[in-house]
Amino acid sequence: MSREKEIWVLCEIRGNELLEVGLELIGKAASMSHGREWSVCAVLLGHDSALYAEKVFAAGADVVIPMCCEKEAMPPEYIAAERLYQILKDNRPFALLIGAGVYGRTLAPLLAALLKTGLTADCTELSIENDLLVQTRPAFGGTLMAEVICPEGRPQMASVRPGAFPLPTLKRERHGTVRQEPCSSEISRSGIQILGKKAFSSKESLLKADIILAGGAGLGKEGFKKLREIGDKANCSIGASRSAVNLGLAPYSAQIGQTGVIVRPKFYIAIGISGSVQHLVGIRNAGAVMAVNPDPRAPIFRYADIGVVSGWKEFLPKLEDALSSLY
Amino acid sequence: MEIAVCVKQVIDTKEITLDENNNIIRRDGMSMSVNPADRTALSMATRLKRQFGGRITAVTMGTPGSVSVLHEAALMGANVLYLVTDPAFASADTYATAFVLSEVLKKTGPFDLVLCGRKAVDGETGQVGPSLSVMLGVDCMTNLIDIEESDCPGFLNCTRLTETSEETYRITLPAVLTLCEGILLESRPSIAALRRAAKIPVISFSNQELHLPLQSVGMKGSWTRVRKVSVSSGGDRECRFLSLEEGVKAAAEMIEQCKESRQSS
Repeated sequence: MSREKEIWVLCEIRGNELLEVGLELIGKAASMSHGREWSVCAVLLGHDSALYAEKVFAAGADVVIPMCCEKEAMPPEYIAAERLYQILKDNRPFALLIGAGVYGRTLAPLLAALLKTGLTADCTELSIENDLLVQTRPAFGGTLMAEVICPEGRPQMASVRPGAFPLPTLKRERHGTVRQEPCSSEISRSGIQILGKKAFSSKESLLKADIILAGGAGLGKEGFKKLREIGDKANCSIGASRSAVNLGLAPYSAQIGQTGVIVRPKFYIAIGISGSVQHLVGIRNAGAVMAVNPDPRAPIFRYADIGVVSGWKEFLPKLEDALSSLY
Repeated sequence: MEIAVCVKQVIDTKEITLDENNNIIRRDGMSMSVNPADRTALSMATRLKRQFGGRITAVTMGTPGSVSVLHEAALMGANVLYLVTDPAFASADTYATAFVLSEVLKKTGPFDLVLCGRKAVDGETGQVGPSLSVMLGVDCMTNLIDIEESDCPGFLNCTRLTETSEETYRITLPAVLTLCEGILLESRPSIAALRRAAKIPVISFSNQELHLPLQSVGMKGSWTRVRKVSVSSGGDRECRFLSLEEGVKAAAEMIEQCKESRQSS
């Protein structure tokens, strides 16, 4: 069976949950294949993966390939990569899309190197042009947008951050076929053995936050402290620009942008963030955006609904007062 | 323990210019430094060398000017310095970059451990380390925040950061491991160390030494092509400017509205 007209999407299952980025990518793949009579094939990776077939059909998949997975834990990336390689090496689909979490960002380059094909990281837009997958990503520190293509290698591989594409509407009446692929279990040479795991406290993810106060590097320790105080009082989530995270002002989990979290809050306030492209792609799905920056020419204002030309030292204490008068 | 550390010279991303013809960024005359996560890799290598003995080899691929990152690596404890430079290697994507690096490591190794940063601050792909492990045929683990001696001889314990947890693994060597930025273990080098570092010669590898097929390196050896680079178009929002007082009021009201709809839903 030829796979030239198939777009494959890798879906991770973690702790009895299908990661949403998989559904987002199935939705994107389905809209790209629409009108072409191509099919979308979801590879389900994780324990009891066959249980999730109905859900991915509803999201837009036509074919499901459950990958065998002996234990509850996900196989280490290099084992998953070798198994996928066995399935893909002789009969290659048009494209393979992978969610860009820590796991996917490791698995994808391992698999691309095994398959000898091209891979583009953290794409923010995908489209099909003739026989090419056009992969757009911010580049060079997020100052520019680059269109990347892979003319010869197949599948054309792309990793995509969670939230970059919308969740598709699930159509429960949709069905598809389950395709079993032989799974070579002899590839379990394992020089890697898990000893322990310490889960972080399950704070609500920024991905689901409805109000986000985000700060830039200029806020410094003092500004972020104030931002957190306001966030705690008013029950808002705290985000940060990449440069603020690089300076250690906020944890990586708070980083908003192409290489952090792509958010979709109802209200987003950017304080002291100038607005590099890699940050802006992280907030383009936000509802209302307010920008507070002392520089009236900062690019962030072109992406905001409301602008206030002000430094954080003036704005934050006044906001704190205004909010405390409400409670 | 023979440790190789792959380091990348990165430019200050605020100083970017476009080359009109082929969309490549010009790198002459800009300020350069060692990629932050590669610094962590170097400092981790220094700690492992103290524990296990052996040597640290720092490898960088880039223009002749990237020699400066090797001098920095020497100050951080590298004993052997390799500069991989050839016009034929230019404009490589992550695959072609990993290919040349893997050939250098095969030629000069074997190495027990190859350390890389988890990503470079310019491209931010994080793909070279894992690709390298496939080409070298060894195991790979990414996103580490610590590497320690294991109770079992011949193993290392690694702590890995994921979105939801910190996980500890025991790994066997050889392996390619990538490290997160921000963790620096090294202390200031002593005067004696500075003197030693200044005496370490830089060994250059061009394709005259490596003899790699030209279709496997640089732009020709890359699977991906940058078709177009453009300045991102302006936003699609109309910004209404408010005074500080009005802005604060609007923000407080919006926050209030969102919370009301949160409670009602």
